[in-house]
Amino acid sequence: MASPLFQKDSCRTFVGTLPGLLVCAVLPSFAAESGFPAPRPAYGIYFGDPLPWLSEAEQQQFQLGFQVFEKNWGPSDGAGDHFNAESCVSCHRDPLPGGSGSRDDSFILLQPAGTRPRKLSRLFRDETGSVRQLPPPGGVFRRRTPALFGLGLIEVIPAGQIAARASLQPEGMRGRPVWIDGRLGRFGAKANVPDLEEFTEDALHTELGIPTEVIATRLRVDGSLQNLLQYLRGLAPPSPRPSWDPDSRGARLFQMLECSVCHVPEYRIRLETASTKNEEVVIRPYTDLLVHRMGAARSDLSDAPDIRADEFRTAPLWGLASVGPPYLHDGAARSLTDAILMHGGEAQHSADQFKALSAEEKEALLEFLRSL
Amino acid sequence: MTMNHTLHARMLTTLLVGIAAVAPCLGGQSAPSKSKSSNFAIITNWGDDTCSLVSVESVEKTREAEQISVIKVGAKPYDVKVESGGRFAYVTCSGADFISVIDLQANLEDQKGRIRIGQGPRDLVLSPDEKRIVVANSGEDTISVVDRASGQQLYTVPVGNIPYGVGLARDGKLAVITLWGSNQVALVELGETAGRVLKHIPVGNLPYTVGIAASGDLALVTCFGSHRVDVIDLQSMSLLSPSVEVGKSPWGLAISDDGASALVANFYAGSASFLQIAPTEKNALSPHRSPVSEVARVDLASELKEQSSPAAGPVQAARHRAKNSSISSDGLVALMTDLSRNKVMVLDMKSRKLRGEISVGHAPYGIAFIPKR
Repeated sequence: MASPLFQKDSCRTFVGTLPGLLVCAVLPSFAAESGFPAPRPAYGIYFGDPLPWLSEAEQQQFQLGFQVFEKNWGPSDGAGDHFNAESCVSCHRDPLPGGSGSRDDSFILLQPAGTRPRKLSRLFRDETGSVRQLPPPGGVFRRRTPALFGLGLIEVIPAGQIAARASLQPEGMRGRPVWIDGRLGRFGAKANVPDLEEFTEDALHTELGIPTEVIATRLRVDGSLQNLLQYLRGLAPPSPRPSWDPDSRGARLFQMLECSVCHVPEYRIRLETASTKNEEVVIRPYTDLLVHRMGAARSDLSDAPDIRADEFRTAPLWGLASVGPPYLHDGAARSLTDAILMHGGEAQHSADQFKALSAEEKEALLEFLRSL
Repeated sequence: MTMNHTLHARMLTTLLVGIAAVAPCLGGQSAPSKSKSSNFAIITNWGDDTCSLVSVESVEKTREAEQISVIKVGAKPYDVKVESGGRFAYVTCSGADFISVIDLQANLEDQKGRIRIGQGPRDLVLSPDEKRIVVANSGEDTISVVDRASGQQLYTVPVGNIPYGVGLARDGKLAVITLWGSNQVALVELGETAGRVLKHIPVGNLPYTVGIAASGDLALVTCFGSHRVDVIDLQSMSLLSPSVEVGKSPWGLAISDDGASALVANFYAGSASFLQIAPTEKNALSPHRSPVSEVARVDLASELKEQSSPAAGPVQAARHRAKNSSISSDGLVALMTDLSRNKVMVLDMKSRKLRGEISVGHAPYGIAFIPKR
């Protein structure tokens, strides 16, 4: 379903081909000289802020959605007896509501089960209302609670632009788009979720334990679901730190080590909203949204029959140092250095090049990553 | 560090050596007398794993000042408290699960003195006799009680869902803990070797910080999601009404030493709420007449716009994210951290005007005046 915040059908982009990339690269200076307005950066003031161009009505709905996000769900709300958390915010909270999770119990647990893994519940509410922990079985895999900032803008990057990126990537580092019933997968560790509505409904059901029929008959009817979606779509991306400098030594190393092949720095998208009126905005998520093979050591589960166990979506790096540690899809990395060194498969040579850097160069690159 | 900063750091060190020379020995003392705030304060920079030392007087002449020195600590430093002698600061490192101990005389962290506690430590508080430290471990639903002299954790107490804020009352025997995940406050009895939860009190949504009024009878709790401060009568262990409506998303709270006022940092509003705490007779609190009220609310962007010097050029409006605050012992000055601009704002508590700003590290979270004797 198209986002009410953005008219996806009317979105166009400059960046679809290599010439387009080049045009885009020179556009800012050309624009500055020619008097055309530069693209608007799409940040909030701080984590958890709404997109800066939301109208007053949209901001009000954003606030209503936040109330749904922070709400504790229980039996009186229709929540079932198996769940992982009582509210969205109890996991999505670092560094602020809407963020990632760092607690052990904010990780999603998955178990192999045929062609698709099964998500496990770690909590059980008995008939007296008491909640107890369910001990996890052996052989489970962990997925980290992702930060939600900026996902609304990731949702509206034109699918063609993302898919075309793969053909620009060199052999050996060539990712691939994940298609689900003709829709491009953008969300989740395996890029197997096409839009925020499906992402949200799945989370309400599997994480909060709300039955699908309750979502359909109660949350859709009373507007809670739509308000929650407006909140998620309205969350502004993290703004880079003042120290962020795309011309810094660290930024150049990021390119030299070919990190930017997969962690694509920038997209420019045209938004048609009540307040943006076909305006171009720039976002810097540092991801190509494609899946890449990350090596046997990083394998976990296949989330769908056509997604391999060692394939993972390139994680966005915006806000990196504030939404982690831990890092990587399973939180296995306790530091940025660990996260880089754990890159295998298509990224192995980048990790090897990082190892070969001097201490000074490593620190320059890490400082750049911390500034995103 | 620039040459000026290095010089300032040496001057500060010398000054603090002088202060420390007359400071009482650590531990083993009876309850210390109330110390006066010095001109100096310490701030935790969550975003770059450091603490900043600042001079409050530095804004008297220039309105815009810089930190004096920077001290490296553990990952994601969150809260800070300073013992009354002004020599040691204790910093919860929320990304590293320990307390960093900073020797302010030496201007560096004593890495061997790191105190291991629970996961995701957030707020901490020193007991009135300063023999103990109590910390909220947001990552494992407990609080840690630490012996300050030995630097060892004595025990933990399971308290409830995602503890964040800590306050102590009854001579350190009652802990008031905000439970962010369940919208409650836990009242915890602290013994010598163990503690137990006495009661859970429902409060507003996403309670972050708790402050204890000087009388020890009242706890004030910022409810981030409900945009209000809740007030708890610690004698009857019950919520008082009405709650105090403040600005959007109140996060940090500081109460003056005389217990008569409080300052609330309203995060998404970019404003500060000044609260008055009316004196009450012991055991005479009425459940329906809270003695706490908001007497003023200051928009920080307007303050800056009014007071910017012409040479500074136009000031960008409404870009503040006020996180935390601390009030000097004499009640005249307050400091408030601004996460979006990486500054500490110096506020005059009487006029409620901004005196100036000090640039610090990235994402200044915790703040505390450094006492002097």
